[in-house]
Amino acid sequence: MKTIWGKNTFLLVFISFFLGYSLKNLFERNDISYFFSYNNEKNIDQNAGLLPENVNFKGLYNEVLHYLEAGYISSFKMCDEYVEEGLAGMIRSLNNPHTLFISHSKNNIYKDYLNGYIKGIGVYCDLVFSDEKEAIAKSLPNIKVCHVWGKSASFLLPGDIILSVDGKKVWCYENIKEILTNSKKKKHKDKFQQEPLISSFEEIFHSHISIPKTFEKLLMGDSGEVKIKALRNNKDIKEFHLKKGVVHLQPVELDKKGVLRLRFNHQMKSYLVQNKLPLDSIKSIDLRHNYFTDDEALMDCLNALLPSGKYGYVKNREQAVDVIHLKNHNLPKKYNIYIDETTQGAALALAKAIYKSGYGNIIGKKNIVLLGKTEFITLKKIFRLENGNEYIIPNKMYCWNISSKEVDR
Amino acid sequence: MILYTKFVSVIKKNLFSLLVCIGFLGIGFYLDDVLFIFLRSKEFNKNLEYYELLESSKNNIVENYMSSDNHSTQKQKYDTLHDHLVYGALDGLVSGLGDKHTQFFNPKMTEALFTQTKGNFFGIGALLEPHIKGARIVRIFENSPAQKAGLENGDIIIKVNQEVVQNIDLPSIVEKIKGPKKSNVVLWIEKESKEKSKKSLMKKIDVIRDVIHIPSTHHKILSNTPFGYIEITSFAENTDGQFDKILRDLENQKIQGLIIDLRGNLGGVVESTISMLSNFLNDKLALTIQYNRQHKLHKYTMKNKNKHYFSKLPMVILVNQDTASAAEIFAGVLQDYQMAKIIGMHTYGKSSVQTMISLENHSSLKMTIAKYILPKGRDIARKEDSDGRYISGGIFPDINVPLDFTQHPIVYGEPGKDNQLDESIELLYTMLKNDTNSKKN
Repeated sequence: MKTIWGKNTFLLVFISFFLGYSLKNLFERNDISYFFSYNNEKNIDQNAGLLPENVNFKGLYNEVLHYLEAGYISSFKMCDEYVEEGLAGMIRSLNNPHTLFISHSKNNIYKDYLNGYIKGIGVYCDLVFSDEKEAIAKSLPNIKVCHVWGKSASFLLPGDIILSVDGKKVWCYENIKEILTNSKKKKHKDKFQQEPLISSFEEIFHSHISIPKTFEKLLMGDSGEVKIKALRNNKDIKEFHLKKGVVHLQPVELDKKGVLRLRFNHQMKSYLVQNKLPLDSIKSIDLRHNYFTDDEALMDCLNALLPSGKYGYVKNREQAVDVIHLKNHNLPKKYNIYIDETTQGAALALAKAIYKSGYGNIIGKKNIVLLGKTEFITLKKIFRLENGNEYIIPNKMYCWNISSKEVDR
Repeated sequence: MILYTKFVSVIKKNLFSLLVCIGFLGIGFYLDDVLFIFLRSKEFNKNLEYYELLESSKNNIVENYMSSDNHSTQKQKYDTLHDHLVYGALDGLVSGLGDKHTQFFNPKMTEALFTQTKGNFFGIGALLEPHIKGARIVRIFENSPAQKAGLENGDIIIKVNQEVVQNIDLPSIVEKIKGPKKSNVVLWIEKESKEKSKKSLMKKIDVIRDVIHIPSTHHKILSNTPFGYIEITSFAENTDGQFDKILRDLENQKIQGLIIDLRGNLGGVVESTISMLSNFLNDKLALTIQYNRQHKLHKYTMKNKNKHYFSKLPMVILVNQDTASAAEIFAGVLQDYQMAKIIGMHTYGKSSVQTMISLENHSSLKMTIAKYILPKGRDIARKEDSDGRYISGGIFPDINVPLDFTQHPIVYGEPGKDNQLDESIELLYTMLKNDTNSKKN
């Protein structure tokens, strides 16, 4: 026995080594490593049964990187920028208007708003819809001013249609042909017309401004000036030079008339922890143009405004129901709530909760979700990543009637 | 008992060796992990970190995302979500390169791409363009289901299977029209009345989908002219063979001028293009392909196919902003050697060469690997501003003629209904006249 050990020590060591290596491969192939707690990344493995991995993400990721590094025309090195694009692509793939990727490195109106300020000339704009478009058919499609604040308020009015920015007419893809055709018609009718004739797509690109670029010009940047031509009441064309700046938005604002303005940004939650709302002075709540929301502060807002009681429930993806039970001893009070078609997310849920529980009157433009039969509102959550990027995805549904059936838009 | 005592004594005597064996068993077990830790590069570590960030975000979304899809089971939702996110992440990552021609294709897109390049997709056989009311038919292929059902150029598709397609982008409309072989699609179309005073007509037309073989070439003698017209829609592997036959046919008909229409031609196989060019030029450099990473150059030369007839013939090439890649090579080479006049608008400006790589799970990666340079050293690479607007690049026409959108209906390749073609015919007549004059002199 002794001699066997002595002579074959090297062989035995090699066999042990080989056995160990083979054993591991066997474990991996049969996916039994989990039972032996072999894998350190236990958390990922725990989801293995729940989340079937149809696509091998790591394998595909490595493969793509390998080919790009080896063969792409210019040198490729994975960096933060590509990861950011990857994350944005992930969110884009959900194809859901309730989702949003907020880049750490790029400017974004949503990011500014959530951080408590807004840039640009001090307007909120929206696209003109098709039926309205027909009404102003000759000055085709455009961007309508919905809300104005700051210095811009003395020039622009809600309802004005932005026709041109910095001397360039606003266009969108669907009216390229109209622009070309109109230009050609003018050529035949009036040889001495002042506007230049347009005969190609390139000319449109250079003499017009696209809708996304218009939004960027109006809503982004904190310095400089913008020249705007706007159509008022489908009649008068006005021209203004407006300066850009930064407007700081407090999460909670109460004016002298008792109108409370709530902004569901990142500061709202901490504001409500540190301050109490002066409930006696509040007469109405203005939730118009309230569409950027960090829904985390919704419950705190309900707590601050309503007396104790049950106010519907929140349902998560696993259909688990969490009844909203407020315990504050606020005195019952009725508010006037101003809304419009842009009231969304937490603002909409707040309006509906107050209205449905009998503590508010709704005043303002028709909002399909609020006044229609829909019983659920999608609530979103902001996830912050270690590299500074953020993404927003819907993770809950708010419902104000426990017995109701889901009617989603 | 004796056996046990013996065993213990052997173990005791060989304890060191035994421990060494166990140690090596352990090393063997963790060998690849240990080697991995010691040998992996910093770059690899960084790549892994990036992957982990994407992976954790994906898991977080899978765990938290509340989809509005109420019809699928929970498992189906997880399955689809996982795949969507993985493909979305890789698509985003690749698009981050800012190179439009380098793209990641998920299995579904890969399949669609291969079916299309093979020319066997199930549709109605009509070429569409966006229209304010939906989509307008620009061209109907011969013997296609669309032609059999009575659809015509200029018809506007308003509804597809009861669904209004106004304000829907063109690719989505096309997707709705496509479907399984022999299935039917109901199209509501608006036919514009030929008499201007009359209102346009609404019609419901049933079209049975079938395999569409898109011919890459189409030719004819232009009516009331001595000129031949060849339309090349793509440079497929067999296009050069078709082209040779067409040239033979046109030569037999003794044409006096040739118009080659490359409008909307997005390119194709380079070898096929060079072979086609060899009908006009002999033993001359066609293009140089430059592989930047490997600093390699590959030169393509044209070999004459003895088409003396065509090397002397007045020739016009029609191009537009959608003429790209191999089609730009074709037009650019003939322009460089002054063999043809170019009419239309500047071309797209795609001077790069791509390769398709099959990946795991039937996905694929289209990647730019090289760029080409035309014989006279021209680099036609497109330059765009931050909004993706064209600044420069492409092949510039000798005579700039934009398409007249006010002309209705526009029928490509039809004299009198295509102003760019009309201009080409006029130029050919002038060239022919000049040629005759110079011969007389």
